[in-house]
Amino acid sequence: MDKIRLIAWITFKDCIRNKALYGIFFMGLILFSANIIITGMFTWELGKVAVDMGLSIISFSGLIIIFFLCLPILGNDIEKKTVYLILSRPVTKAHYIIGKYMGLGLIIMISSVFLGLCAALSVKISVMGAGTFIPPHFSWGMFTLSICYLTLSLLILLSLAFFWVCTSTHHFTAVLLTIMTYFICHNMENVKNIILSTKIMSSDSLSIKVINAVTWILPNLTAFDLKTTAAYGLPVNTLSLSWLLIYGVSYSVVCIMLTVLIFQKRELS
Amino acid sequence: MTAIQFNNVSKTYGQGLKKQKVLHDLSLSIMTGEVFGFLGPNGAGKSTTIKLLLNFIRPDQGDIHVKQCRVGKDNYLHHIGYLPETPCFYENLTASEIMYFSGKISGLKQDQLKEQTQDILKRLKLDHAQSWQIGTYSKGMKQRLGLALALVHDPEIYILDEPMSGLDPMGRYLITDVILELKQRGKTVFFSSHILSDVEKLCNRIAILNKGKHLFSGAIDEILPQYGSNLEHAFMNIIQTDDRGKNG
Repeated sequence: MDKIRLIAWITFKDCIRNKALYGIFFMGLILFSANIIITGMFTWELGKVAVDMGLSIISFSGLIIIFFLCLPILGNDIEKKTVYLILSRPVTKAHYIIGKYMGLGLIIMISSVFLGLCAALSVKISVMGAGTFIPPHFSWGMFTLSICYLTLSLLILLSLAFFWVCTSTHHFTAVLLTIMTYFICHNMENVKNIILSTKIMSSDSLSIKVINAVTWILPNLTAFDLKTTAAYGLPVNTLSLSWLLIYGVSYSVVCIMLTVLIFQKRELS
Repeated sequence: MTAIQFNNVSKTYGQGLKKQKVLHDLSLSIMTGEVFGFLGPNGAGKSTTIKLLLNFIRPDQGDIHVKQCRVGKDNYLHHIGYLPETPCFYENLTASEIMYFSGKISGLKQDQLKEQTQDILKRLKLDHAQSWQIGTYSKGMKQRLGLALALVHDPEIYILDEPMSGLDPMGRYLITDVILELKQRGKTVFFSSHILSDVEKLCNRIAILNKGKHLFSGAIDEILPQYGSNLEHAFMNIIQTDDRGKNG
């Protein structure tokens, strides 16, 4: 555990000093300012618009951090052989993958906290003094909870990104595969529901079987999107949220375990 | 006593039509306490051999032992200090931080580590730059930092892949001095190099590799009268004879 902690520590330190991270934070701040300006153009339901936009900005910034910061860091480790620095020490490949995931995961969590605070501030400023309509059941607790689930979905995507980096020969391929996976994870459930409801294909057709298999293999990231619930102050089902948490954590753990298995077989020539 | 033992090791890269054998049936013994030079032209298989030794890649056949531990099966990396040909670092970290990480992960205690780090960085003339981010280092400084990382846990075996590459005369002098000190302290050093004058000065024994084939191993005194008047001539003769033999 000590070795994993040390690897996570250097990964975190290296990443937190990366200028690209500050660039992403700066972009986030500009978008939050834009949120205040754009929300001001609406004449009603400003609160909903501000919350929805604030959470979307956190999600977007998180994706940028994964695609343009975490993936290149991990890819360069393997391509530029920085990994030799770690693996020539008495550590296993499992220590390396888990430590790296924890370090980059911590970056995502800290980014979510920072961007979450900025989002909250932008929502507060947007609705302040406008005497605007705020959903009756809106709560900052629900707003925070939706940020937590959004962060969990980013951590799941990060575990998938690790999987693709360790199975691809070039990190650009891994970026493309992670982007594809992200879109599939976000849309597959909707596509399946549309096809089944319109009865374009019979439920035992090959396409439906493939879609079913994909929905079982890849996570349904839409389930972690609680933006609408937070924006409209809708009631939440605690039990389903608990299951969602277990599902998200288990999926990431399984994905990282699979990555470790593949990485152990991989030669670092 | 044998520190490193290669037994009939072969390695092939690629698959199908692109398959290329880069190491043919290598058998080699490096004894404890000797400085062993590993020579060969570019593409001879020196770096592949080192990667096999560190378990970054696996052999197709044969086995490698480090101090009675079988590579790929037992834990042996705490015995080894490794300097890659082109050391790559996490560029946003400082030298102190990376030294702390390397020492700590190799099992060093906090107080021991602090003392070691200061001594080594001072020895390699990096103490003034220990709080700088590695991204600001020159190539020579990075190479010296790479050696500092290999030294930090005071291992018994040193594997140095082209340790003098990209160094100015001052850097070469420092690294030569460190290797000579390791030799005096009875450490085992296995290093590959193109700079034959350094090899002649430092090594007890050498091995010559060409296109993955092991052509010679033995003491420098054994090679000189037989193949040439100095190491450079002897080396060229061995490689050219092998190439002529292959070309018919």
